[in-house]
Order: sequence, then C-alpha cells, then structure tokens
Amino acid sequence: MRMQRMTFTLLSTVLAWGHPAVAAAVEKSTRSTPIPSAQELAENVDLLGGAVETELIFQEVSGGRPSVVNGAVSDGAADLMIRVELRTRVDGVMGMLKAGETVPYQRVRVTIENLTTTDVDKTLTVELPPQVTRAHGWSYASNILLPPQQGTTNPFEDQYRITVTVQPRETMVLHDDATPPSPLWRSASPLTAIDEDTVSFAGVTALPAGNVDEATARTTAFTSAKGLLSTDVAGARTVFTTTLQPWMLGLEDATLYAASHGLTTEVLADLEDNPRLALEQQTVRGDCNRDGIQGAECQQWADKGMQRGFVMAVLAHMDAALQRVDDGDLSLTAGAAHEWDLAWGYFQAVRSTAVSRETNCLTGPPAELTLQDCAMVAALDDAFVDGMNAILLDDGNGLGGFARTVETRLVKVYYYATTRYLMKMLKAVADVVTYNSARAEGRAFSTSIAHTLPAADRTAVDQAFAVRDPASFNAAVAVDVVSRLNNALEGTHLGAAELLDPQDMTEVVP
Amino acid sequence: MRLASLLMILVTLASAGCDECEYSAECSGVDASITRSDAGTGTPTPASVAVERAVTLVERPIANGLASLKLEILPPQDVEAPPGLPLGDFLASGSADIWIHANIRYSAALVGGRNVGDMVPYLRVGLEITNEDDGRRLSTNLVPVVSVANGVFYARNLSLGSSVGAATSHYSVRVVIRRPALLGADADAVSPGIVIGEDMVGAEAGTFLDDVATVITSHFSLDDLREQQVSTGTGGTPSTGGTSSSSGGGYIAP
Repeated sequence: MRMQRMTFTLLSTVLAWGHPAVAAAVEKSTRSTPIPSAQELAENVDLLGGAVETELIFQEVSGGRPSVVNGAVSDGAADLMIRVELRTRVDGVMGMLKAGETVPYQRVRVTIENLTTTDVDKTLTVELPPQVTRAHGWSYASNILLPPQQGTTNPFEDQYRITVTVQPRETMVLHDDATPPSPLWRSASPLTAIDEDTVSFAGVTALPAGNVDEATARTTAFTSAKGLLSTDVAGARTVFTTTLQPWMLGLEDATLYAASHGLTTEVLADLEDNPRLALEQQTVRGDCNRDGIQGAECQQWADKGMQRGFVMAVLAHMDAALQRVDDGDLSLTAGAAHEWDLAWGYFQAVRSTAVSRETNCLTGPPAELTLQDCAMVAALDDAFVDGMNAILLDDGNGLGGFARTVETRLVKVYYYATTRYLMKMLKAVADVVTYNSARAEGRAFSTSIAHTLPAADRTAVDQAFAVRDPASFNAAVAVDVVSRLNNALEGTHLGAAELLDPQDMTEVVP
Repeated sequence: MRLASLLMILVTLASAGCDECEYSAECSGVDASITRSDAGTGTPTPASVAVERAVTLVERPIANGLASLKLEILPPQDVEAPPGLPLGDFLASGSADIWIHANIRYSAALVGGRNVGDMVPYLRVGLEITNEDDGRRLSTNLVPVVSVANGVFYARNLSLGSSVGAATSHYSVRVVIRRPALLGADADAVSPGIVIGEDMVGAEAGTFLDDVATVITSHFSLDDLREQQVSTGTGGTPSTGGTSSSSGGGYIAP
C-alpha cells in the first residue's frame, strides 16, 4: 500500500532572537529642517532597456527595526531618509513576473557628494539595506547624515550630486532558463541607475548653489581694480589686463546673447575698449584724456565700463542657462544650474550699484531723484534664488520669467543711475570738473542699457552726455534724454511706477 | 496492509519530532550542510531515487493568509550557482536526484507586497528531509533562484540517494520559514539583512516578519515521484505538475 501523504502544519513557538518589537528611534539632526512629505529626487525609467525603473526619494528620518543611519545599524542623528525603489516596468521580464514588483536581492549603493561645501568630508557612500514598510512595500532605504557630517550648517541649503548604482548579489542562483543572465542578476560591476547632480532637498534659499569660482575671481579682480583707480591706475590696469580683459573681449561675441536683448555686434564693439582705454588714460568717446582732463573721467569710464562687462556676463549666462534647459541639461556642473549660478556670481560685482541706487531713490528729493517704486535689490536677489529653484526643483520651468525679472531689474538700476547723473550734471553746471565727472559717469552708466534703445535714441542720448561745456547743457536736454529712455523702456522693461517724470529735471536746482 | 500503513503514519508523526518545534540549529540544521545522520545503516542505491513528475507537497496559505506557499518536488534542474552558499554549494543537476522548491508569494498587497503574486523576498527557508526507514536526516536550506519563466523562488537540487538514501517507506519533509534576517544581526549571504520600517514595527505578529517561524511538514515516498503513479485516495495526492498561476507554477516533469 502506498503511504498516504499527510500534510500538517506544526505550530511554531516564539523564538528568542533578542530583538525587541519596538522601533528604535533615530534622532533628527538639529541642523536640518523638517521634511513635510516624501519627495522624488530623481527617476530613471531607462534602466536595462526600460525593463526596470529606479526612483530616488527622500523623506523624513524614520526609525525601524533595527534603526539605521548611513547604511549601518545606529540610532544616531540623521538629516533625512533616502529610499530607492527598484521596480519592474512590464510583466514577465528578467525573472520578475509582474510590472511594479520590487526587484529584490540587489546591492543598492548611494554616493552623495556635497557640491557646495569646501569641507574635505563631502562625499558619502552607503549601501541601502532592503526595507519593508506598510506604506511603501519593499525598497532600499537608510537614514542619512549628509556630508559633511560635522557642522551645523543646514544641509538642505546645499547642493548634492547623487549617484545610485545597482548590482545583483553574488549569491543569486540562476535557473537554466535565466542564462545567459541579464545584468539584473549577474554583473561584475555596478550599473549606474541614477546620476543626478542638481539635487536639492528643499530648494535653495541662497546662492551660489555650486562652484562659481570663475565669477568670484573676476568680481574680486573688479573690486581690486576699482579700489586702485584713484591711487594706482597702473596697478588697476594690470589687474584688468590679467584677469578681466580677455574675458570682456569674449563677451563682445553677440552670439552669446538672445536676439531679444538687442545686443548686436555694433553695440558690443566697445565693451572691452572702454575700460581698457580709460585705464590706459586714452580717450574714450572723446572723454577721459581730453584737454589734459584725466583722473575723474577716466575713473568713471574704467569703473562703469568694467561694470558693463559684468552686466553683459549676467545676461549671457542667463541665456546660456535657458539654452541648457532647452537642451535638457540641468546640471550644476556644466548645465543650466551652473550657468544660472554664474549669472548670480557676476551679478555680485554690480549688486552694490543696485543697493546704492535703491538707497538714492528712497532718499528722494531734493538730494535725489525718486520713483514711485524704488525697489531694485530684493527683486534681483529673489529672482536669482527662484530661478535656481526652478531649475533644481521644476526642470527649469519658469526660468525664463526669472531671467526676465533679472534683466528688467538691472535695466531699472542703470536707468535710474543714468538719470541720476543727468541730475548731477544739472546741479554742477557751475563746476566744470564736477560736471564732467558726473557727465562721464552718467554716460558710462548709460552704455549698460544702450542696447535697449532704438539706434536713433541711443545716439541722441550719447550725444547729450557728450556735451562737455556745462553752459550748453540744460534741463531741456535732460528732459529729452529721460523722455527717450522712458519711451524705449516703458512696457518693455519698466512699469510706469518705475519711470521718472521727465519734468522732474526742470525742478533740479543747480 | 491497513495496519502496516497505520504504523507507518505513526512512525512519520513520531519522526517529525515535535508538533510545536522551536526552530534551532539542532532542529533545522542551521549550522550544517547536507549531512547524514548517524541513525540507520542501510545504503540504498542513489539511482533508486528518481523524479519522473512534479509533485506538490504543500500548497496552502501561510502567515495568516498574507502569503501562499507552494512546495514542490521536481526533477533536478540545471542552474548557474555561485560557490559558497550558506549551508553548502548548490548541487549540479547531474549530482542531484531531486529538486525541491518553495514558491512563497503574496496573497495580498500588504506587508510589502505590491501585487498579489509578488515574491516574498529575503526569507530564510530551512529544509529537513528525513528517511523514515532509518532516521537519516538531510538538513539544508532553500536559496533564492531566479527563473525567467517562474520568477524568483527558493529552491535547491538535492541528492537524496547520497545523503539520506532511498527510503522504502517514505521521507518526512520539514520546512521552517523564518523571517528575513535583520540588518546587522542574523544576516547571511541569502538573507543579507533587512530593516522593518517604523510603520511595521509592532505589527509583525502573524506575518512572515514575525519572530515566530512557520513550520510546515509533509512527506512523500519514492512511489509518489514515479510517472505511473496515479492520484488516488485521501489525505492529499501528488500533483501532476505545478500550474498555479498565482504561485508562478512549477516545472512540468519530463
């Protein structure tokens, strides 16, 4: 007789493994900010020919059994939890039966590099252990103390590069029908699942987000050269020649700018010439080395001529950022985020001018001109930060609007500066040196917005500033200049509340 | 014959050891590879163990219905297996006489499962097969195997003939399913250590995350593995090839 099979389940007993059934706590680091909800950082739907998709998610620090920090058992402090979901995209591929099934038995490693810090402790690599939760099912996850792991700076304000690699565990046994194996189950080297270098955990609240050394070096050189203008022109010239001149020559390339700016080859032709000639004490548009008048006029052309280079650099790098967005390259190393960062970096050279003009505007008459809306600086700062967040958090959507804000706010600064020196000229008609210093300053300022004017107005404005004899300059000329500027800029760059009433020039008392 | 059968059943029950068995090295062979117990003296011919058809030993819900288990015996399967697996290398098909596998799959999109039918990963599946003729016991584990046709399951090629020998009566089978190893604690190469998320901690009881192991027993005879064997009688019969779609199925016997 054949033995009849009897199948039965034996009751099991509780095993003493020594693990308490309570979640161990992980301390939230005091330096980081709360995370309201789980957020996706990156996604790759192309892994292994699209058979597998990877999602990189960050969320609030969470305990567990055991609690884990940086891939190891720990109840120490952490900034956030990083979770990687590795799922099949279609049914029946590579040994996974259902679309959406988590791919198990993988070594999922995450490398996090802090792109903002200068700390040597800026890179962290951890293996994420498998985690099972009620909310998310199986994934690979760990609490993370972001690099640098020491320090109190809020890590959410930094930018990171995150690389996720996937490699099958070497212990996986492959059935004959799974050979030759897919790289999902047998691979001597890790597959890169995600390589994202514009990672921001909460957006930025300040810039730069990455490396802007080149902009900082030029801004520092500008500040240095400007500081030497009144005492050591030769020294200022050396700084300009070695650090700024080749760069400004490069900025004369009209192809760096969107056509909408009106920055033609003709308009840009004297970008490098003006500050160089001024530093060489040569004539600039008939100013500077004329009739032995050198010091003040040359200083203004040198200073404002260099400033103009920085304004152009801001526009060029914003345009480059927009182009990178169109190209799909958002990266912080060479893509849109980097270009935007550089635009911000070059803006720092002229930010003090914006601050000064806003202060002047808020001072108002009789010492200064005023506008109904004097705001300049905050809008610029905010637009740069918002633009970066548009790149980092929203694939660059809306960046064009923030670039436009920066552009128009810069125009406002230089519009106000130009008109302010018209006023200064009117005030100084009795003092030819002061008058011509103000004239050269206003004229040099106007070159930063000359491209916004029709050619005829551009010429007319420059000719008005070319009047060297104070007796030939009067309020009517100033009114004409302001009117031309207003006509060109109202509606295109500035609102009515941001424009000077041309008749204000008639009220200037010498 | 009736009396003999009854006696055989009683022997089977006795050799199962305990109805409520604490999982231990002694019970499960955690620290042993394929071993031969000291009991018994017979040396059956290995060739006498041959699987001519798929046999389903167990097909039932486990973990309070959260998952299903299908335990099957098939002919040895060709695999590509790395060396150094816990509890012994994976036998090549030519060195084995049976293949036993456990398909453990979610029955609900709960406790980690996204879909019904998803594989429950990282479990530690211990296996004991005892020759009830003489008490010789094979203790090993089933390791994760991936198959394009059948997904990921737990399995091994085994050589009953060269380990516990050919049983003239039957073999008892004992499968102990332990929760996945926890990170940093009891991990090994096939269960590398998981973390039970905060929202699951305290709710593991009765699931496959419970510290309580699930123990399943069954038995089979060499007759059950033969092609000419016809399904008859009560108390469970061998299947004629795994076809369960929910479990990913088995292999059709040659």
